[in-house]
Amino acid sequence: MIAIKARDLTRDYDGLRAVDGISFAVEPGEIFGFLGPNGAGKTTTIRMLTGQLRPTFGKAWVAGCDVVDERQQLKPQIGVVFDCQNIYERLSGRDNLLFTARLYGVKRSRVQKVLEQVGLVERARDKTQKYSNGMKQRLLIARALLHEPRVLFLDEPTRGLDPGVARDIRAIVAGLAKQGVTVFLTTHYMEEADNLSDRVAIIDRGRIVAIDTPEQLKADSDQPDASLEDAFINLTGRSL
Amino acid sequence: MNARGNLRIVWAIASKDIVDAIRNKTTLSTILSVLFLVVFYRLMPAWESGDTLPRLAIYDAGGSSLAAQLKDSTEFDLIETSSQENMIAYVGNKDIVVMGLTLPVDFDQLLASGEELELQGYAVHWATDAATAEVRAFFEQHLSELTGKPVAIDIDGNIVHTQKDSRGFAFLASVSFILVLAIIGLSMVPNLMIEEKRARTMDALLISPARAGHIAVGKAIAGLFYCLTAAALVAGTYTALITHWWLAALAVVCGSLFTVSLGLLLGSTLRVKQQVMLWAWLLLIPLLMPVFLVIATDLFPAGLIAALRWVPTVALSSVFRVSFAETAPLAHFGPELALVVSSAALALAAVAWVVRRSDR
Repeated sequence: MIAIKARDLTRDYDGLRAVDGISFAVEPGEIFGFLGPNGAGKTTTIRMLTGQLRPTFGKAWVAGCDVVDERQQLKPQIGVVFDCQNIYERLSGRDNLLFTARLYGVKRSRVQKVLEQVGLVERARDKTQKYSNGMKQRLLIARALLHEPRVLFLDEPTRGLDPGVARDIRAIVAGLAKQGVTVFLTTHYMEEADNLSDRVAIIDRGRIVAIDTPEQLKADSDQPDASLEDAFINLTGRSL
Repeated sequence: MNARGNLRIVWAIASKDIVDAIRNKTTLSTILSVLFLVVFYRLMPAWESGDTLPRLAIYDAGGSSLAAQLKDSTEFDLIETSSQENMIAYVGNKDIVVMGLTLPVDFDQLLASGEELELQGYAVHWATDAATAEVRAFFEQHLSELTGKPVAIDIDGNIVHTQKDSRGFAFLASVSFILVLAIIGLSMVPNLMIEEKRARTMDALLISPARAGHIAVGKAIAGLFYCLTAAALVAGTYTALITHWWLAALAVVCGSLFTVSLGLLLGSTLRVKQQVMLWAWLLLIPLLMPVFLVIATDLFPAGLIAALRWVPTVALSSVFRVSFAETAPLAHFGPELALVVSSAALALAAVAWVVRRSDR
């Protein structure tokens, strides 16, 4: 079964087309990079694929569920790390996870497991308002993994993080893919997309302008020894 | 999702909010300040009464000579009323223990006859036995000194209960309940929703198995919990006044449901805390003002008073006062309670409509 499938997915905001008829498919266990500048339509695409936003046109299926008609069935199949650190700051990291566990009907023992998985056991009982950005991001990943989703959406997961923390987060993501979790990753960072992704889609002004493996995208670029960024500039005519 | 799953999600949200509200400075300060207001307001008459003289309300049916002597006394304050009903109403409405007394038409003849005088006295139902006995003994002694004869005041069967349309103490107690329910319902519940929107934790909730309806119900339960807790504290300060606890409890539950529904409506339509503060206070005015206006029957036309009785908080105030009264026949509170419940249902229907629209 295809993990994610989008067909002519479109979303308008007040007459402005944010996502313009994009189509793609992601295989199970694949890390799919979704690259594009600010305002290109990355977050809108994630919001449609996770059932938060109804597409204006087109259809999408995630883990075999129609994102519009089977939204409730879709919810346990997906985990989302948002582009903001939306956690309960007055609760501890552990209490944040216990709350999510109750929502999903997940056993409490699973909380300890994901805390270990993201390396937050020692600070689990601290209020999250005392957490660094990196710790908050780890907690967000733990929350998204708590119910063992089949597809994980990561919206700019390393934005604003120290290089060391960003590297740790990438290691966690790579590990998840090895366990068979499908990862849909939006990022600004070319190197991140290049190193992590099995395939990359480049979106610009709401349209997918290229979709392939990073190696192939670089190879298709006119320049010898081109980087993914060169490929991106070549395709969109602008840098990120 | 089955009923158990729905309950699990709703309770997860409600319990998180119940615990979180204690840690939230905004909601905590709202609860504490409104409770302080009510307790202060309740205790104020008791502090004041320490400096005031005992009070005697009399109805002198026959224009006796005693009334003139009583007026000159510096030991107590005398209030003369024009009818027996007014005297009883005065006793029932005051927030301190007042002795009511009827001087019979033939009081002067009785006094001249040389027999021991037994007068009919009146006391409020919420006064303790000790307080009533103390006031009665005080006036028996003074009246005996003034008349030169032993005077007994009989209050058996003359306990004054407040009425459905009582003003004074019973009215103010009902206002305390309404104030607490309105402020907590209108300010705390929307804040619980706005906080989720501001921190964008609402997005995380909506991609979880929780539906918008679960979130609204969870927040409503947290709001109800705080309304009921605060109302219980208010009831604790008016224990002696409440005669029909079941009706007072019913009024609290229905009133909480109404104010929490309005709070949910604000929370689901507004996006910013400042908007909530503004709208909550704007709504408090039309909810609280009529409660006060409706008792000023002498100042406003009957048509306006009749129209104001359709305001849910006015009806709720009436139900609370029935719970303080001697009897609580259905006809005295049924229509008013029905009005409050219907208004809550209307507000909840509006919430459901807004939530369904904003679900995507």
